[in-house]
This record gives sequence, structure tokens and C-alpha cells, in this order.
Amino acid sequence: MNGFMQAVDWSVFRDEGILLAALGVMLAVDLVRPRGRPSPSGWILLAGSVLALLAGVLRPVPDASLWDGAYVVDALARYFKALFLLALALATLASFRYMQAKAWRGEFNLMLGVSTVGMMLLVGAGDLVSLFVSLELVSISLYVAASLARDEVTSQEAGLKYLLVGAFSTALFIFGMSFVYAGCGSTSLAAIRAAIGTGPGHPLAVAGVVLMLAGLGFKIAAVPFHMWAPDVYQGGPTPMVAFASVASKAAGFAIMIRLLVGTMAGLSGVWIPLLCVMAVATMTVGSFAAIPQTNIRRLLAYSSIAQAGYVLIGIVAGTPRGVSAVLFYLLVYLFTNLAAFISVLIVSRHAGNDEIASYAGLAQRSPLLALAFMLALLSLAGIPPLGGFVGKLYLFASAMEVSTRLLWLVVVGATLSIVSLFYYLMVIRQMYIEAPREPGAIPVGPAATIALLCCIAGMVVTGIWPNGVLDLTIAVAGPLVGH
Amino acid sequence: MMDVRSFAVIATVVFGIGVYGALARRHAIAVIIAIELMLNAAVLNFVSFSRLAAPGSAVSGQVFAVFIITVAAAEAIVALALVLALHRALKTARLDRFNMLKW
Repeated sequence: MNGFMQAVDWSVFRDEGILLAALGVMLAVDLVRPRGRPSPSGWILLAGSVLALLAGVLRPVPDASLWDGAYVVDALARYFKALFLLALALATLASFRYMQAKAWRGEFNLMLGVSTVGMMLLVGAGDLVSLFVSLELVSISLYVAASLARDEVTSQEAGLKYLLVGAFSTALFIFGMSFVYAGCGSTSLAAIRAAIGTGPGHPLAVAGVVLMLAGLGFKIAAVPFHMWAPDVYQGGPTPMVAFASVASKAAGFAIMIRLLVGTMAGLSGVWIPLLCVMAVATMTVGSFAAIPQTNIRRLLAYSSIAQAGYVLIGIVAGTPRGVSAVLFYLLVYLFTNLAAFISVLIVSRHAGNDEIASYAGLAQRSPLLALAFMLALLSLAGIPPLGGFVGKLYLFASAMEVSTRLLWLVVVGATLSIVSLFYYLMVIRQMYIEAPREPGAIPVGPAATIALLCCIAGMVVTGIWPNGVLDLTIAVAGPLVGH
Repeated sequence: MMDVRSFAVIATVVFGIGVYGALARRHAIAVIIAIELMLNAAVLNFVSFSRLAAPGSAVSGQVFAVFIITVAAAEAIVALALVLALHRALKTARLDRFNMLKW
């Protein structure tokens, strides 16, 4: 046992360690802070996430494998860790002013940080046990974050609904894991890959994969496991929604890539048809259910459900190109959806409600907010020259490349993109054509301005010069596929 | 000699009861209990499979069972705290009364 501990090279956990250290400092400072003094927890969380992000990008942790592969560092893990930290940094930066008056911001920032640490461990999990534990670390801290707005009962209702649906799908997920364990004789992903091989697979493992798809479907809010999303997006505190809508969804796709494409490629005859059905249902329900919405958050919730459907097309393709398209789209989606939610954060706080009608004349009241929100909606709809266009094109192209049998999936996706353009344009019409209902400018704080400009830059750069990022995602996806 | 199949059948029946309860019950506590049943079915599976189906890596199945029990406790604590907070505000713990957000 002693040797077991001594052999571990803890520097593998450097980036997680930086963030954890920041969380420790945050707890300590909040504990000794005199009453009435403002809490610096937001600044500490921002500093921790930016430091960990810079460390991870400038001096990447080399490839490693700990505890017989139960925890691994590889290109995929490094890519997703940077993505989660970027989401955390931008969401924290944008919500300084929102959190200023909240008594619960210390706990809230802590939960967001803990959830990010969980996501970073999750993408490095190489064993079903470590995968399950880190997935629950992510989920439970997000349940708490969703329900922390003690001043609003709706926040607790959203939290409970999130938790009940989440716990239900966790149960399906681990029940499926138990069958995979029985069928393959191990919980290690490498051993499972070897046991599945290329053959038809043990019937127990097949049953397990089907059950596990349900658990994964919940994380990415795919139909029919999407019912929690509109309620949580509407009722939860906006910074948590902004963060979870990009980071938690990316985490779901990260384990999908690792489990399905990386480990269970031999069972693709089982999960590809199921994912195809899931993708079509998700795109269709998301696009059509968004049309009648009058609440901007519910509209964005259904839009993000539809977006998950598009990303699933890349997983279905299952090739290095498909996976790299998923990675690229998730990065674009991070900038896009954060820009949308930061705008919602500021406008809702000012207007006191989330009605789409409150966005009337936003272009006159705050040109920057209106511009950021418009670019985000156009990028979500897939209009050139924004990142969303390149991302969708690349996703569709990767599916067409695999086989013409996936052509119908691409046709459905492209058609529903046009449907979704309808409700995105409705919001843009409110902002740019309708006259403002209330006079007066909407102030945007300096921190939120920086976050919005980062998001705009991200959307435009990935749209006009996508090659650099695309090369990076291909380098990340290459070694995963085709073992 | 116990058969691995009989354990798997019992676990699946328990899991099925849990699924039914989670979908059909309207009281928050009853739904939480039903979800606990589902998690316990998975624990039963891991323990019996570790002995009978995967003797090569028996430890990891048993470790998994312990982790599921621990995580289920953490989840139940958060769930019960939320039910308590909602009960205090709304004087009910029935899920169909928690309808401030459009379903």
C-alpha cells in the first residue's frame, strides 16, 4: 500500500491542484472575512481558473497514466480541461455585478469550482469507477449551485427537478455499467475495449451500453432525457446556467467520446442506430419546442437541446474527422452560448424578468449587448462567417464522408437549422426593429464587457480563421479512434 | 453453487420496481426512495458479479459498490435538504404542486 502511494507522480494533477488551491483560499478568506466586507470569492475563483488555464495551455502536463490507467492524461483530457477552465473564467468574469448583492455567492462560487474540478477529473477517467465518482462530483455540485438562490423558490424547484431526473439517469447509467462489468470482466476502459474487440459482444455488455446511453443522454440534455433543461435554465441562477449549459454539456460529450468512440467502437452496431434516433429526436423536439416560447431562457434551453442533436451527428460518424468536428463545435458553442447567456444575465437583472418582449429596442439601449446577442443567435443558427457555420458544416461533412447512409441525418439537420433560424430571428427582430418599451441605457460593467468581447472574438475568429483550431482538434482526435 | 443469473434477475426486478416508483409516484420522498432502490439494484449487481462473473477483477466491483453507497448518501442528503426547503415555502412535498416553472 505504501508503494502504491509513493509511486504516484502527483504533478499529473497540477491544473486541478491550482484550482483546488484557489478554492481552499476562497473558503479560508470567506471564513476570516469581517462581517460587512465584500467577499472576494469571485476574484479568487477567476484567478484560480485563469492560472490553471494558462498553466495548462503554456506548459501542458505530459501524457501519463496512473493506477493501472484509472486516471489518464492525454490530448483529449488536456483539450477539455482547457475548455472547462475557459468556461469557468468567462462565466465568473461576467457575473461579478450579478453576484455583488447575493449573500450566497461564496457557496455558489465554491460549487462552480468544485464542479469544474470534477469535470477535469472526469475527462481523465480511464476506469468506470473513477468515471462514476467524478461524474457525480460534477452533478451533485451543480444540483446545489442550481438551488442556491435562496431568495427565489423557483431556484429550489429547479434544483430538485434537476436532481431527481439526474439521479434517475445516474441509476440507469450505473446499472448499465454493472452489466458491462459482468460482460467484460473488468471496470478498466482499456480491458473493456480488449474484451469487446471487434466481435458482436457479450449480450450483457450490449444491454449495459443501451442503459448507459440513457445516462449520457441526460448529461447532454438529449431527447427523451431533456425535460430538466428548460426548468433548470429558467429557474437556476443565471451564472450557473451559463456555465452548465456549455461546460456540463461538453463534459457529457467528452465521456461519450471516451466511452463510445474510444472504448466501445466494437459495439458500434448497437449504439450508432440508437444515437441516430436520439439525434433526430433531439434536433426536432428542440427546434420546434423553441418556437412558441415567450421566455428567453426557455427558448435558449430548447435551442441548446437542438444544438446537442447536431453535435451527436459527429459522434455517430465516429471517425477522427467526426470527433474533431465535435471538439471544434463544442469550443464554438462555448463562446456562442456564453455570449447569449451573459446578455440574458445583464438584461434580466435590469428588466426584472426574462420575457422576450423585454428585449425590444435593445440595440438602442445597449449596442454592445445587442451585437453580442445577435452574433450569438446567428452563430447558433449557423450563419457565415461565424464559428457556428464552420462548426455545423464540418459536423455535416464528417457524417457524409463516412457513408451516404448518413445523408438523411444531414438533410434533417440542415432543414431544422432553417427552422431554428425562425425563432432566432424573432429575438433579433425584437432587439433591432421594435422600439424600446422603457427608456434608458442598460449599463454593462467593465468585467462583463471583457467577457462579452472575448466571446465575440471567439465566435468571429473560429468563423473566419478556423484552420488553426481545426488542426488542433484533428491532432487531439486522431489517436483516439481506430485502436 | 449460486447462479449469477438468479442474482441478476433479482437485481433487475428491484430496479424495475424502482423505475416504476420513480415514474408513477407523486410524492418527492417516495420518488427519492424509488431512486435509492434503483441504485441498490446496481450495488447488488456489482457485488454478485464480482464474485461470479468477473473473478479476475473482483476488487473493482466491490470498490464500485462501496462508492455507489457513498455517492447515493450524498445525493440523498442534497435531495432531502431541497425537499425540506420547498416544504417550508409551499407546505407540501408533492411534485405536482411544484409547478412554478412551466413543465
